[in-house]
Amino acid sequence: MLDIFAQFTAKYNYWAYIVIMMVGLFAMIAKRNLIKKMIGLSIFQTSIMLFYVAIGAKKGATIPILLSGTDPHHIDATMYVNPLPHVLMLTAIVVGVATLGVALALILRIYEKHGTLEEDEIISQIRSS
Amino acid sequence: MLPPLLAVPGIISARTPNLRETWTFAAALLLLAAVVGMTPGVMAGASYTWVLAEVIPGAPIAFRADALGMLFALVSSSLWVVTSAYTIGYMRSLKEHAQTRFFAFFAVSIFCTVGVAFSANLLTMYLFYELLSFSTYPLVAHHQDAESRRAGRKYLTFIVGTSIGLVLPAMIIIHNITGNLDFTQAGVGLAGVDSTTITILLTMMLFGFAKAALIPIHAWLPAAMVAPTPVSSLLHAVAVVKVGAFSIMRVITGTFGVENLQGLHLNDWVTTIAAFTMIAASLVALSQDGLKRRLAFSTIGQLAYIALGAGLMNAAGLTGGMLHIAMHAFGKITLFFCAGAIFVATGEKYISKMNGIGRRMPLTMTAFFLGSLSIIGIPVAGGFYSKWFLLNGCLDAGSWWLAGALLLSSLLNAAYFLPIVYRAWFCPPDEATFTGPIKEAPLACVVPPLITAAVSVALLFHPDPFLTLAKMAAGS
Amino acid sequence: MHAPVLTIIPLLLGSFLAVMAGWTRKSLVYPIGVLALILSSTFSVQLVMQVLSEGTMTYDLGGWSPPWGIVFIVDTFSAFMIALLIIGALATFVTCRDEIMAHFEEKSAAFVSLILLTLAGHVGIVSTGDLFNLYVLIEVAALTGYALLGLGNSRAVLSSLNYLCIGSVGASLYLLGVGYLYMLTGSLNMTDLTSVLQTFPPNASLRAAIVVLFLGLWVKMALFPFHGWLPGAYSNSSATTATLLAPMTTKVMAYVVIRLLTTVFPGGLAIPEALPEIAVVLATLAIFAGSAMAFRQTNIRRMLAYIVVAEVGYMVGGAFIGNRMAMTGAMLHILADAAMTLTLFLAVCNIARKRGSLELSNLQGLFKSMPFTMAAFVLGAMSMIGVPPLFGFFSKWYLLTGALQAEQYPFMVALIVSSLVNVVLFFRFFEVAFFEKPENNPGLLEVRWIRVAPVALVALLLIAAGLSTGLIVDKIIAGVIPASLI
Repeated sequence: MLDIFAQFTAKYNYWAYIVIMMVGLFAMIAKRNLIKKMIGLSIFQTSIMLFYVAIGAKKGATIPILLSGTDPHHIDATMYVNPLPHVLMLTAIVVGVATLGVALALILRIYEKHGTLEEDEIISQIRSS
Repeated sequence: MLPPLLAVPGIISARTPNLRETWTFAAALLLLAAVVGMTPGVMAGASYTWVLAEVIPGAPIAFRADALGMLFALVSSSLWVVTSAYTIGYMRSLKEHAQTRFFAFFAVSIFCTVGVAFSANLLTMYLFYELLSFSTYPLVAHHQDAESRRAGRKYLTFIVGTSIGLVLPAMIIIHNITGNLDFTQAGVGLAGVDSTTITILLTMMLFGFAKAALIPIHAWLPAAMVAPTPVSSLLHAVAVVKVGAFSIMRVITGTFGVENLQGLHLNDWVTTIAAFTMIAASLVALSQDGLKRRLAFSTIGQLAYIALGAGLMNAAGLTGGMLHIAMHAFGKITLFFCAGAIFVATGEKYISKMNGIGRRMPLTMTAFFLGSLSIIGIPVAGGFYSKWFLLNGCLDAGSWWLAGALLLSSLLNAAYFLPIVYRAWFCPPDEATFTGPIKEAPLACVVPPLITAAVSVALLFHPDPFLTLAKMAAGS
Repeated sequence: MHAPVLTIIPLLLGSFLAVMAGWTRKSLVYPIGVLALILSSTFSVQLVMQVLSEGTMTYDLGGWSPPWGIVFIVDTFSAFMIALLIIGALATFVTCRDEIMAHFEEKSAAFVSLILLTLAGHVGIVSTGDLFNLYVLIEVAALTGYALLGLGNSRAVLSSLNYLCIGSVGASLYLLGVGYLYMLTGSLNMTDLTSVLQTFPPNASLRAAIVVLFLGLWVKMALFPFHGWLPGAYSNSSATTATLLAPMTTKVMAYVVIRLLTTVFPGGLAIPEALPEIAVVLATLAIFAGSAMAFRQTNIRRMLAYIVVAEVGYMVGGAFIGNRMAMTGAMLHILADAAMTLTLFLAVCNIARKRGSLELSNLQGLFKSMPFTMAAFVLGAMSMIGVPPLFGFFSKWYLLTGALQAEQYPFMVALIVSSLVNVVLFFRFFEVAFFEKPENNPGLLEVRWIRVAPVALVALLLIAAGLSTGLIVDKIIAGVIPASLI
């Protein structure tokens, strides 16, 4: 029991990311407002980005820019945070932004046509037309 | 090495009627010439082969012209020429619509039939079997009314449902076990397999080839009689149903092998199913008033003869079954031609209304009489020959009850054919039924049945090349 | 030498130029699109030839060598698939010219640009050899797909939004899986990952990673029960978009699954044992559910969309059954299904052009008024049913044989039942088209030859490919499956 508790507290950040992921997923499924669904999607994608960044973290390491005065042939990798996940997540952030952009454009079209952002109202409007 | 199918022109696309009919005839004659051209070689013992495409390891799309295939191909191609003449007369007299579509799909159907005849393995046969199902659908549904829609649905349900649902899995299982689907195997690859599997596979094949119309998957055949009579005559008396019976014969001799099946006593299983269909179909035929429906049930019974021959699995039985493919074809097509001629001349479809029609249409009814004699098996026409072999096969197998069933079935055949002839010749005509002056059907509808009737009779005295081919195929 | 990238470059350039042309001279938009597609097709055919003669091609993007650089790996199957995708898109583009230019008016430049971009994304997915690059390209293809699908009426927009949500979740799950794998192995390159995993001890994180990875891909390819987005997306959108995307998206995702199973995790390396079993169960359910739901549809496009759901089941089941025959069947089915779906949707495009509504009640007498289009449709339908010698039969054969060898009998039954249900589905349509007459009875009212030629060619391709199955399996597929898979 204490063992599990110890494991939990040691990796609390990963647990947090999972909670955030579930919050985002819940928002996407349960909320009726389209904007709230998109916020949920954003949260979901953000949690994964946080996860990636956490992978690269190292205890006592600094940002991945070579300190002045380091010998280029003897770089100690443990001093710098792993830059690769950061780079990957920059790409993922861009993808997320683009997704959000497309989603908002679609939502704008829906709003123009239906005048509401509530999903159930939109569906009933479509059904009745 | 003649590629057999290159001689079969597929689609006829001409629009003007005369040009279209010329194409039809040209195609039919070309096919007949090609098939006849190969016959001497096959009868001398050679067999032509040709591989089209290596699609699946152990199962290419390949053709072989051997004795059994030759027999079937000869029957189909010779009858196509005759049927073309008949069809042209029939369609023109009735001023049917969409004739180009009709002739085009007719040609495709014959193409598929010859493809089945010359298939070298189970996959190729299945390929042409399926194509035949779909190419005959527009012919069955030709009239495009509600009745033909229902009939088309029934047709597809029974024929495609069984071929995809039963034959395909069985074929895949066999290919998985033996790695090879050739018909020359004669059961070599299946020798060690346990009897339950073989029984199940055999049953799947027997009922999977629903075109052979064994009871209980026979119901499509009477329903398909809504099609125009040329369709009923060539396709549903000769080509389509014979494809089914031929497939059963091929699968039993080529894929499973008679020795295997006899060793497992599965010959009894096949003959029981066949005998049941024989008797039951003949009994139902007795009750039918529609002439084409009666002929349809008669066909179901007669196809069971071929299955019976396959099931007897001895030389006489196999010869009889194979020979019956030819004899029944010529006899039955005569009967259907006559039914169509009667319809063209009088518009009548029901036997009860056909009193005294023999006086008016003597030629037609003579042909009918001769055709029915062939089917009954009286030694005036060729049908006697095949029944003789079948009877010998039953006795060779030591099965008295099968011989009895065969004789009973022949008696029933007489019971449902001879009254028609009696009515036609000896009953006074019902004047109210025939309004205008009845004369013979147009020449194009009368000459073909007379030809086929004459051939039926001639086959008794001169059964070659069919008898030789059948004996060759049975002996191998 | 640069062939793998040359297939994508015309598409990217073309999409950029199309937008430019949209601002300056509208009439150039369509020709630019056609030119880009033709150039791309030529390069893809050249690629196929090269790969067939020289073997697998690798291309290091930017000259950076793997495992740090991103690499494109094109083997025979990828090359063939790339060619099929591009030529299929070209066929759609040529057929649907009127819809693209007239229907969207001011948005036609954007539409053409998006078409080229989504095609570039899909081709990239097929070519890439890097896991993260795969994520990016999946999203590129998906985003442009969402935008394309949203260009329609309000139902289309809502369906596209729905697809966006579900698709993004799927892609994010895939990303999560890749993240786990990176965390455990330190590699993102496919071949490098395999070599690391060979000596990797069994690990719960690894199993979780792979499950999440495949889950994401299953969502993206609309495997039951994650198929909810597909029918809406493909039936509410414009006919052109559906014709473009239906043969592409699900098949490319199935390709990714097969790539992972054969190259990255060959022989079940690191894959938890329960995963293939669950996959086959889901695949069987997909086939039954897709066929059953297609039954209830009266709109032809919705019916076809549900049939696509069933076809996804074929591919996933074949991939996960785990023997050579089934894998061959799955790969054949990807190719066959792309071609069949393209034929059917192209024909439906033509029918929609002439008839408007695609409800069954509106499609009477089609055989008489549009014989050529219907002939192509019949060929596509027979391929779906599985009638030899069409291509669909042979992929089914391999799938059935593979299932038989692995004793996966429910899957076999599902395949056979699906064929029979397809007969009923298609003949329900054929009956209306054959037996019933339309009210005004227009006679022959076929579309122009330029619209019939592509669909006729693709339909004939089904026959040609069917007859060449032996060749396709030997040359294109057999070399791709690892020799250890029996």
